[in-house]
Amino acid sequence: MRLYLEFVKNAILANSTYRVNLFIRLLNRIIELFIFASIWKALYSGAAETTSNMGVISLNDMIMYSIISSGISVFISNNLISDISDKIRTGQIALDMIKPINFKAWQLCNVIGTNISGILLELVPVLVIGGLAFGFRVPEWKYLILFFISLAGGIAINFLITYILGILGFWFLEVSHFERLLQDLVKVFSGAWFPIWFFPKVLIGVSGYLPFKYIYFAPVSIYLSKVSIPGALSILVQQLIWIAVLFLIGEVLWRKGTAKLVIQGG
Amino acid sequence: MALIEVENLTKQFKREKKKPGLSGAVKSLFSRDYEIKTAVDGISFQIGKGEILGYIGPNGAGKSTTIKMMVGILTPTSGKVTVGGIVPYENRIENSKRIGVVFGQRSQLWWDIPLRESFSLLRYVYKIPEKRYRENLEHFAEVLDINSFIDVPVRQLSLGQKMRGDLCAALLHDPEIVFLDEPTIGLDVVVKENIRQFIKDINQRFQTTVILTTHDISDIEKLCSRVMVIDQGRIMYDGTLNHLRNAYGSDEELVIETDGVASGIDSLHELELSNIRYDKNKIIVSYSANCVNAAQIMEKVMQTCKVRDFELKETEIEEIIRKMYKKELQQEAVR
Repeated sequence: MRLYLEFVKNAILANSTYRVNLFIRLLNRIIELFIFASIWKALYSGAAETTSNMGVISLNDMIMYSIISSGISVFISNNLISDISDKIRTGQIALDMIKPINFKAWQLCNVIGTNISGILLELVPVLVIGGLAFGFRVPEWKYLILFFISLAGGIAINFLITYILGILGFWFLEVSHFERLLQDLVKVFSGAWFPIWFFPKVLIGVSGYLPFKYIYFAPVSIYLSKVSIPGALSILVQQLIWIAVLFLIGEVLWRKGTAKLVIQGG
Repeated sequence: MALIEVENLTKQFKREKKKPGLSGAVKSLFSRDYEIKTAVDGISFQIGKGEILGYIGPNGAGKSTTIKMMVGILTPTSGKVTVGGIVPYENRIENSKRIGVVFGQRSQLWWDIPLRESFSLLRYVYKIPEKRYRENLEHFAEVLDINSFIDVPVRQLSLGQKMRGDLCAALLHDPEIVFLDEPTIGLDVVVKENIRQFIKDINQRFQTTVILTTHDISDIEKLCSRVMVIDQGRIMYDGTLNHLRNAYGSDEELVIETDGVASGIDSLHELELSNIRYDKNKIIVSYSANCVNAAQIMEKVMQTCKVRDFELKETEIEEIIRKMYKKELQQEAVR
C-alpha cells in the first residue's frame, strides 16, 4: 500500500518540475473554454433555450457544461494511451515487467499523481476565470454529492478505457488507424464538449450501449441537475457495472498481451 | 538441482517477408508471406549458485533472447526453463523478486527524478528492510562512488553514472541471480574496472550468481570462471575461458613499426611463426600464442633494427566464434 502512495507522490513530483508545461496546459484550457462559450452563444443565436431530443437546454446550461467539463478534465484526462503504447513499442515495457509490481496499479498511481498536480494550477484557475467571465452555478447538496461520486466513476472508466487502448499496442506494433478511430469514437461519445442531448436519436441509442458517456456526460448532467435523483442513482449503478466489465476486459487483454509479447532485439 | 536449468529451449519468431519496391508494398496489402526465424534452437545447460558465467556470441546469435526467457519476459516456443525451481514466465512476479537485471542499452531508473528517489521507490517495490537498504547504499557509495551524483535527476547523468546507478538498482534487493546484458558498453576504462571489481565483490560476499553477456573479452577474462558461446541459436562452446583461448583463440598478430624500411630478418625464422609479411616500414608477424610469445619476437626484431612502435592484435571473439563454427565438426564442444 505504501508503495502505491510513493508512486503517486513520485508522479506529483515529476510533474511539478515541468512548470512551463502546466502553464501551457492551463492556457489551453482557458482558450478552449472561451471558444466553446462563443460557439454556444452563436449556436443559440439569441434564444435563451432550445429543445433537444432529451429535454430543454438553456444557453446558461451549455456554458456551465463547458466550464464544468473543462474543470473535471483535469482529473479525467490522461496520457495513458500514448504512454503505454510507447512503452510497448520501445520495449521499455520489458523492464517494467521485471519488477514485482502490478503494472495497472502503478499506471493508475501515475495518472492520479499527475492529475493531483493539476489541481492548483489548472482546476482552480479554470473554475475561477470561467466563473468570473460567465457566472457560476452550484447545484443543491444532494446533486453535488452524486456529482462527486459519478466523477470518481468517470475517472475510473476513462482510466480503464485508456489502459485498454494503451495495451492494444501489444497487437498493433505500428501506429494504427484503428486505434486512432477508437480514440476519436471515445472522444465523441464521452460528451466532453458536445453533450449527448444534441445527438441525433440514432446516436443517442448507440451511446446507450457504450460506456463512454459515463466519462463526461453523466457527471456533468448530474451537476446541472438534468436528471432526477433516481436517474442519477441509476447512472451510478451503471457506472459500477461498466467499471467491472472494463476491469475484466483489461485483465484478460493484459494476460494475452504479455503472453504474446514479442520484443525486438536478439 | 542446479539454480538455473535450461532444457531443449527453443524460441521462434514469425517475421514478415517483405517484398521490395512498390509492387511488393501493394502485394502485401492482400497477402503476406511469413518466415520463421529460429532465434534459439533447442539449447540446454545448467548454472549453479555462485557462478559467474560469460554468455557470448556474435550479434543476433540468440543471447538476449535466452536471457529474456530466463528473466520471464519472453515465452519459449518449446522446451523448459526453471530458475530457482520456478518457471520464470509463468511466475513473473515471484521470479522478479529474486533477480536483478541490467540492460546495457536501457535504464530501469525513473527518468525525471533524482537517483536517490529511484532507489527509494525500489525499496518499496521489493520491500527491502530499512537496515539492509541503508547498508547497501553505503556499500554502493564506497565502491562505486554513488554519493557524488545520487541527488541528480537521472536524465542529467552521464552514461557511466547511469550505468552505475542501474547496477545499484539491480542489486539493491540482494537478488540471488543477476543478469547483466552488456553492462560496460560505452564506458571508460576506469568505470569499467570499478564495475568489474564491484561484481566480483558481491559474488564473493553473497554468492550472487552472475550471468554476463558482453562483447568485451576483457570483461570475461577478469570476471568469468565459465564461458558459453552461442551462435545462430546453438551453444557452440561451454567451458572455461582458458580452454577456449587455447583451443580456438591463440592466434595473434604483431605489427612492428621500424625506423626505415624493414626487410628479411633471418633470426625470425628460428621461431615457429605462421606468417611474416613486410610492408614498407612495418613487419606483420602472425603466430600462435601457444608456440611463441610476443616478447620473443620483439627480442629478435630489436636485435636487428630500431623499433618505433608496435601493436599486438589478439584474436577477437568474433574471430574465435567464426573459427569454432568451422571447426565444429572436428572438435567437440564440451567442458
